[in-house]
Amino acid sequence: LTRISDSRQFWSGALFLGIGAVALWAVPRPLGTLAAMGPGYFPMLLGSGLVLLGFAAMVLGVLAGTKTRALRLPVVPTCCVLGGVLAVAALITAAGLAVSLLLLVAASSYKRLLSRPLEVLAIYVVLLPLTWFIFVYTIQLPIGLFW
Amino acid sequence: VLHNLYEGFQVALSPANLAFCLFGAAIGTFVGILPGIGPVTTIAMLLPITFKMPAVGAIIMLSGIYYGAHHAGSTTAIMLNMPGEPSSVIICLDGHPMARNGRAGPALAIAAIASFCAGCAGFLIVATLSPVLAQASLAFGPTEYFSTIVMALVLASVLSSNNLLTTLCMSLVGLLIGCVGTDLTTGDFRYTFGIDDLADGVDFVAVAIGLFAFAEIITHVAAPERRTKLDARVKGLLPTRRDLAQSWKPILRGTSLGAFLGIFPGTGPLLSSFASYAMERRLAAEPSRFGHGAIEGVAGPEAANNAAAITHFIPMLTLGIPAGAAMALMLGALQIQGVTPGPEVVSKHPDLFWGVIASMWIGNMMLLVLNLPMIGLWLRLLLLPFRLLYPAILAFCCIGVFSVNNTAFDIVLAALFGLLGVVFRILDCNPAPLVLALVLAPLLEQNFRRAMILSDGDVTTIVTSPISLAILLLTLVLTIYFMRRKQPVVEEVSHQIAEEVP
Repeated sequence: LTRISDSRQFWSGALFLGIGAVALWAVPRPLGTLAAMGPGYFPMLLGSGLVLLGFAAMVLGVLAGTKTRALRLPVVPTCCVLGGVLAVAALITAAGLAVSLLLLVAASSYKRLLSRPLEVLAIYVVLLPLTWFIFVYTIQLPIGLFW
Repeated sequence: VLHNLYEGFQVALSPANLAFCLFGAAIGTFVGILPGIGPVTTIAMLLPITFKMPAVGAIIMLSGIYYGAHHAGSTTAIMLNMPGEPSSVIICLDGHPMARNGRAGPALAIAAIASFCAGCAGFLIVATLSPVLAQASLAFGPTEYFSTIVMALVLASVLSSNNLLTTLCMSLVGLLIGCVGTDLTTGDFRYTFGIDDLADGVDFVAVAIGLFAFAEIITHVAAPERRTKLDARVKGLLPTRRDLAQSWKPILRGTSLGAFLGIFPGTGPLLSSFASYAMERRLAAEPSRFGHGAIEGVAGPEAANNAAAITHFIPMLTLGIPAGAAMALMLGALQIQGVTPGPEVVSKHPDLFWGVIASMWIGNMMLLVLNLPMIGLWLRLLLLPFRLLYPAILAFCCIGVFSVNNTAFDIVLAALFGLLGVVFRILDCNPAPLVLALVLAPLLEQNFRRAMILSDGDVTTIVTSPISLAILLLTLVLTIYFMRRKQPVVEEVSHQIAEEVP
């Protein structure tokens, strides 16, 4: 998409337009009237606003004179960090703190897991008791160390 | 007022609250110095811990984190040309050149003195003005509330970026996310898409952690590791008499400007420091010295920044309208403690109100002690590699999000918002307005509905009510003013920083 000059503006506009469109498509019924608003009236206003402003941003992005750098999503870091987070989400009540934190530390430190395994292990060894002490022992969250 | 303040000090000086205050200020200084983790993330992370604390202690600690971080953000700006907080970006302009000229000590000292003076002044203003404003706000009906919230959202959008269109859209997205869940008036489910966990709405802690903390960590992990080098040494902390003579006026001006601007919902520290820098440069005898280590360029903005950080509490404590993302989180903490923020806080919870205010002054004293003599220690922290820290931040965030409602679903939500946060970063969209809008959404919608019911569907009621009209006009004037004033300074800052950080 080298022809679009301000690609950030353009794509953010597209994102907002998309969100607005979904909001309008799934708008809760009934809408109601201005004097007696139903559950859908306010979201309908917001969705329309997003569609309009998003479209305006897209147009401005195409018309802008300056070129901006190409956009790149950091795919691997995003997947690893969020993968670790999702592992915690899946395992925290079922398998407890020890397993879920191990996965979180390992996934988020993926860059050094092989080159510096001891450092990653050290982080885990310090982190686990600390987390357990703060969240389980002190404020008594319903999480176990192992299950 | 004096009697109330006296009682406030009694609350704040109790050993437990002193400890909370010290703890908050120390944590705030710590995260203010560490780049990549700011007060918003920290408050979100520590929110679950406050659930088990007494209300007064919780708010004292959270406010300590908030102003401590603002105070400390300037340290990294001066030493490394790396703003610890967005609001200290402007300190880089003249603070770092001072450090390179071997005058890091005086720059840090002046920044600390300016912060302290501004903190004291801000404290006095909050103490005298809040009860008055709380009284005045009783005259606010739904229409006026609606306009004030619109003001907060619009001003927050103007300030957080150069691109008004994008940030307004971010606010709208935040408002939409705020609609998810059960409609407060009719009880209908909205945008739940058949997911039961969404019936209670999207938790703002999950959103804030995802958009701020997770996105920040992913960006850090993706970037090639950078070694932080401390090139400037701190020697001779004490500023010369000439430094003091040059700075006291900028400090006074910065304090008044910041204190004034901080009162409006939506403005605050970031804007105040920019405005103060622009003002000092216009008033200076030799404007050419700015950018090369002019001490006025440190003193003024630093004072403005801190004065605003403290008067920023006024809209939250008196109207229940948080003025920024960090304030929004504190509002959440208050609500979880069973305190409804708003005009009644002053009359119904005097210990909380005056205790927190008194603690701000004590906290500022503590910051002075924490920062100046121990500056070397704090700077050593900068050498701590981020790779050792972020797994801990991630873990605390995950468990913090989990603990708000004790559901793992919130962690999944936070991960989703983390992904969205990375996309927003790539697209240059600042997430702060989104979080603020998310918190304000129910308030905005309810007041809009009530206003429309009262006026029988007549939209013009927003401009026919005199208070509401005045608020909207003020919003318009401030928007235009800041759009025109801020642009040149922002461009200059980004140029300068781009030049120096390869």
